[in-house]
Amino acid sequence: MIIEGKDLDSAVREDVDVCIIGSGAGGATVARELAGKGLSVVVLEEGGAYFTEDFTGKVKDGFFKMTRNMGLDATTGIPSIIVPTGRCLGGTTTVNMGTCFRAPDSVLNEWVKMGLEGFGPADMAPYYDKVEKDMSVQEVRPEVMGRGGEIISEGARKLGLHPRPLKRNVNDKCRGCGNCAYGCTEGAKESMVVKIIPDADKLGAKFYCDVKAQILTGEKDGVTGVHGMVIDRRSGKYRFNVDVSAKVVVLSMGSLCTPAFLLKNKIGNKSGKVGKGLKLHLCARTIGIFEEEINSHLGVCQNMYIDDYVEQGIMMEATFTGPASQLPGLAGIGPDLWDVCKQYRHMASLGIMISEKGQGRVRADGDGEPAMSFHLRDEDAETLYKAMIICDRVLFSAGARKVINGNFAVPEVLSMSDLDRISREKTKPSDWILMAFHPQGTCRMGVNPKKSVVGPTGEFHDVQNLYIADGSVFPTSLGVNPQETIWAISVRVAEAIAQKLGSAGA
Amino acid sequence: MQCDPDFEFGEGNNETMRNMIAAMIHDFVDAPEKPDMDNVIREMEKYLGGMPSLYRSGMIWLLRALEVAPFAMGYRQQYSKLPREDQVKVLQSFENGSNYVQRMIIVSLKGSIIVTYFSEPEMERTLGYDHHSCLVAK
Repeated sequence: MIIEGKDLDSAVREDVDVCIIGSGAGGATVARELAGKGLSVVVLEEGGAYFTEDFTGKVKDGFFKMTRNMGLDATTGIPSIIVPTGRCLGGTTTVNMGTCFRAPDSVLNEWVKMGLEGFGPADMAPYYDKVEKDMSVQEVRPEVMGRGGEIISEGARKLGLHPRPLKRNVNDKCRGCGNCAYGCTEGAKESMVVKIIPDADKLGAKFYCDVKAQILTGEKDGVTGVHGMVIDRRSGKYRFNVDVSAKVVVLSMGSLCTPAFLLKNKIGNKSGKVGKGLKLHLCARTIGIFEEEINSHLGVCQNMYIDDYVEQGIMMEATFTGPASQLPGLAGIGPDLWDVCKQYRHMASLGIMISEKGQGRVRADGDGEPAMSFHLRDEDAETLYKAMIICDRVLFSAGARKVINGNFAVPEVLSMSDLDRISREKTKPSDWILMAFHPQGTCRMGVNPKKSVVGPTGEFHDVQNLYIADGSVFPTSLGVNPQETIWAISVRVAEAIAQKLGSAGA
Repeated sequence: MQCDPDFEFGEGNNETMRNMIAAMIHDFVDAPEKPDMDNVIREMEKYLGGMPSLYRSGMIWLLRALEVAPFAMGYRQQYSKLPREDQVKVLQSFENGSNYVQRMIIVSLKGSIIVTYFSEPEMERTLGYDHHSCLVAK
């Protein structure tokens, strides 16, 4: 059952086996797995419920309805980094681009070295196999790739690089509309609201939308439930109380809200590590402007990748969106800005994503909302610069007559020969216009209670019956898009909870 | 945390925003149709109204800072009273200057303006963008 705030006219009380806070990649997956084992499950989702028929394909509608704070959450520090995340049924999976990767073997092997037995590539393979089958993960088909991805792939191959189509959780209904990130209008992207939540619903899980969790209730060493409130979707104002008694509570609010919620509740932080170790996968953008019309907006919005430099922490993914989200961040004012904007159909864009060495932190502000800080290290700025030069070369090699960068010091480059000179220059953190889409690692998993927040099952070291299933548990940065690994780990967390409770409710 | 769906700029901030949008992009769009500026402002208000009060206040302070910034740059008028070409120059000096805070003010204001402005149907048509278009027919 999916219950929206508008369906409620009085306070809510529930008594269940498991209460999950958050309905994104982690929460929805745990809900379905546990409901499938006969346990009673309630999910509390702060955002509203929107389904395929509600999606308009308009950038603005996606931002307005389905992202946290209009997609403008940002870090303090230099530079300030915008970190948009979803706030709706299905969480960020509703508004992401659908890109799927397994965690690289090198990352999983590192986790094993940290003592997390059972997380090696062979151990995780069955979980990845399961979620890839469940979510219809497949490579971008050539007919929906779009010219943007094709032309960048051609440029990369000329340089001896190895571009490949991305894998995505998208079924064969995909028609290459490029609206993936504002709610897929075709029902092709198998985000949580399309597949997993309806499955969980059929299995008896109950989803309350427009409900903000406030307080973990409990006894001496463990939690016994959650107190929350129904909020008015339009104004955010309080309407009614929600009280859920549960044998187990799972936090799946994502790497920003999960630590903020814990810090607000002053729980689960004997290690002192909650909120620390924030990794972001810093992203910058390069845009090539071509003589020919590319029409990159036609086709899958994130379609191909280049991982030749992944061991140096650099991934490149061709990404293009509607003008309202593609054009912000361009340099220029007045006539200069319009001169660039009007070439929208001649653009192709290659995004940079680095696995940064630096770490940030999430704290709880006065309202218990996440407040992020992150200072870009010089060495990470240099990695970004190196990646920018590679992307610029790829775009020139593809035939671009000009390349635009998200860097104040090098806002545009006019030729490949200019790049040789530019590549010898130094960069600094304040030069960059950055975004990040994969916050992770703020409540890390580990075997040592002094150095980690949760154990290998996702259960807290210091609080009984409290688990985390989201990207905050990653012990190190993944280096690739995280949703598939969140699903896989969440299936494991669900197994551990089912084992603890015994199937069908103990 | 609460948003304000009925948020309005108020007269002074409305004027600053209107002038900034005009100087940043609107007056230089050479296209047969342009968005109605009143619509753009209303959409900006909706956009800001959906943000938490802290963000909204921050944006208003940025507008106020922009309004008085010309005095510190040697002009003798506030931003909204300057000729359009000088309004463009003020924004350009913010964006191209070495002062990181000034640059980020422009990045923030420009980001929210571009999201709103290029969501207007007139601009989508001007750019040749139709979010209903797909590569594969149904």
